[in-house]
Amino acid sequence: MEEQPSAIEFRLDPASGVPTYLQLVQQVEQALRMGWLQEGDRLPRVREVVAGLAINPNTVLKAYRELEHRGLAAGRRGQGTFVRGLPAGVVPLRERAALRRGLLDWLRTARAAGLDEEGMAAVFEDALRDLRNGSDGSDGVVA
Amino acid sequence: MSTITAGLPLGGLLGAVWLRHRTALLTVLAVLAGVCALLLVSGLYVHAGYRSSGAAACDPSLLECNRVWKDFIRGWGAPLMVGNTVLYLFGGAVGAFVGGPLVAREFEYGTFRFAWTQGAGRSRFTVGGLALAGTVLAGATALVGVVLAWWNEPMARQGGRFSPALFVEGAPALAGRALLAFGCAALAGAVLRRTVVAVGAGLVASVAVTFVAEAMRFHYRTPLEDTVHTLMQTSVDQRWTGSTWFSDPAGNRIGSDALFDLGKGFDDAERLVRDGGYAVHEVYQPADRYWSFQAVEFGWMALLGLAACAGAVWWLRRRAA
Amino acid sequence: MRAPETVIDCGGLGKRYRRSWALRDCHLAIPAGHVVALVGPNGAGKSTLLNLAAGLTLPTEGALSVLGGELPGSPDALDRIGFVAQNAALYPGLTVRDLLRIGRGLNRRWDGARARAHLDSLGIPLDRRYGRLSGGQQAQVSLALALAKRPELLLLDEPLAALDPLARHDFMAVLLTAVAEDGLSVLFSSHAVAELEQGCDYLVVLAGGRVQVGGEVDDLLGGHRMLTGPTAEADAVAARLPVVRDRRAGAQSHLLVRTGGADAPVGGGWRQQRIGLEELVLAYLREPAAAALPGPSGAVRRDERVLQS
Repeated sequence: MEEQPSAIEFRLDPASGVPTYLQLVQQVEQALRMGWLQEGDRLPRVREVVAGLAINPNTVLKAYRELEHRGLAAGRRGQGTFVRGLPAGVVPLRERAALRRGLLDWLRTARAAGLDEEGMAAVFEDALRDLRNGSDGSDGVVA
Repeated sequence: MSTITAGLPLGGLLGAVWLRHRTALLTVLAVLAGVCALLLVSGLYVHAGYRSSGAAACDPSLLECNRVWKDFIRGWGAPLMVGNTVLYLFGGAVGAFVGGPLVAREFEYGTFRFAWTQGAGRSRFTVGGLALAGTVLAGATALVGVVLAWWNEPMARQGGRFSPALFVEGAPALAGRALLAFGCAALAGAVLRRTVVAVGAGLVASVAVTFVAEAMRFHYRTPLEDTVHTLMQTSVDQRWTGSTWFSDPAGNRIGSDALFDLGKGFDDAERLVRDGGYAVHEVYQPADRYWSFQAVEFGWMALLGLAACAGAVWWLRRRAA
Repeated sequence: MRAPETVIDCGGLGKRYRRSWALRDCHLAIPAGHVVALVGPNGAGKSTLLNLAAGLTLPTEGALSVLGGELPGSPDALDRIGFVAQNAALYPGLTVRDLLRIGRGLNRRWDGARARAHLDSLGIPLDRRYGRLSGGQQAQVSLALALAKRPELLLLDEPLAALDPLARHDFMAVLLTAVAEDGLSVLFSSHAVAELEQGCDYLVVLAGGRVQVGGEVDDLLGGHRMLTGPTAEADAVAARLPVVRDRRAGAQSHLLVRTGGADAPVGGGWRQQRIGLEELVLAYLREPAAAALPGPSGAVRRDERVLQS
């Protein structure tokens, strides 16, 4: 049975103060957001993670359980843990590229209007706050 | 692929114990082989001299052969003199050198923490080591004893194999003494946990037992008694004479001084003994009892060595369940 | 064979060497399936506890059972427990291959193929004498020999002490991989607490021959908070919550409190955060009278003594 190498590899930041299992969960979520992990990809085997990072297997199991709990992964008996859903707030790559182009256009317009970078950031945070509070007219849900 | 066996196979245990003690045992065998080589070389030299000096052809019971014998010893006898002295004292030393490190080294290096936490447990491991080393030791020293018997032929022919220096070199006696030193050294190593001290203890035991054995040896079997009527040496065999006592015509025991006082010297005493009803009683062990004596000496020494080994195992066991 | 629930169970365990007690009045019930870190200062009794569990020595008082009721040193216990001594002492004149053969001859259960493959993958030559290997390689060989027995419990006495950081990482990776594959329980003693945080999920702190802390790492870390706030309010807080360690400066104080899992109920003037394992262990070691031991249900006790520094 040919096994593909895992798409991602974990690393640890022992000084960050974040519990180890949460770091693993966050790295999976970030990989999903960045598109490095797609639906159906296999997460690294517990044994591989343990051998690479020298952490307790229970920690890895805990992380994968949390991912299951959040609906992002599902374990298949004897085969490993696989990506199932996508975290809220994840946008496919093509749409993301389009969004980025739109944002660049707006930034050029803002610069032409005389705003410097701090001014642009202020406008952006104001608008983000409005979206969060729902005062823009639509029901904003924060991821 | 893992295998689970119900009991611990003996072959596996012996193999493991052999690997553990292999270096020490091969070293001992090499040393003993060197000793044998030395014996062969010096023995050829001595035997050549024995023949060429005419001592080989001379009957030791004859008076004139004494001079020939002395000439031989003066010319070629040095290896025999030196060798026999050394062997008399230190013939059992090899046992101490094998037994001392056997247990003590495990403590000195800390390897007992590995050996005693394996499935076989400390008792089987120790017993296996003692049994293997003891067997190899006994066999090798017995072989050296065989070579020594050839090497000492001139001395044996002259003074008899029962003489103290020669008796301890017989294969069974040599092996027995080595085993006793081995056991004492192993026990000392188990209790004191220091190789050097343990070897020393074995050496002391080996030397001490030599003297103890010499004091006891005559009484291994009830001696025989010969009654003769001459003061001359009559026996031409290689018997071991323990003591001689005299009796008057009535059969009462008299001291040798009293006998010689009755006459005016040796000739008068001789006449009394020959014609006057006085008798000389010789208490002796016949020569053909040599091998049974060797067996007895091997028996009690080996038994003591075995008891010491059992003591060592018992001592180690009582530190755990 | 049914898997045992506790791997180390002792009550009133004590061991005396000549005049001094290395362990005194120890009570422990270490559950199976964990990687347990045994920490404490020198002379705290860590080696003694491991030696007792391995059956190398006998207790002076009290009782100790392993693997759910076995006597340490019994043939059954020796079969199912692996032990790696401090400084990994093995016969220096023998080759690695010879040592594997010795292990095979002395054990009923032996997976030599796995050990050999494993040492090959680490690049350790089987025909080199043990005495000529580096410290890290020796530690790996000792570990391989212990794992080849396929034990249910592995005891290690300061296995990382003589190893450089790379060797330490490799050693822990191998050890934890075996835990992942076989589900074995591990108990190992160490000075260096910082490295243990990744690998261990159960902690036992020994100090002065007694058990001071015992519990799951997650529970312990989740059940403590470091409160930082105004010294003027420190007494009030300390009166309400069980304080482990109390450090006060002129204006600001740090209080390490036990909360049983939730956040501490303190006002806005106080900042609270979780602490790491090393800080937790150090705090307890500096406060010998404090203790954090699991109650009958395994939860962290709430009715501990409050300390005033």
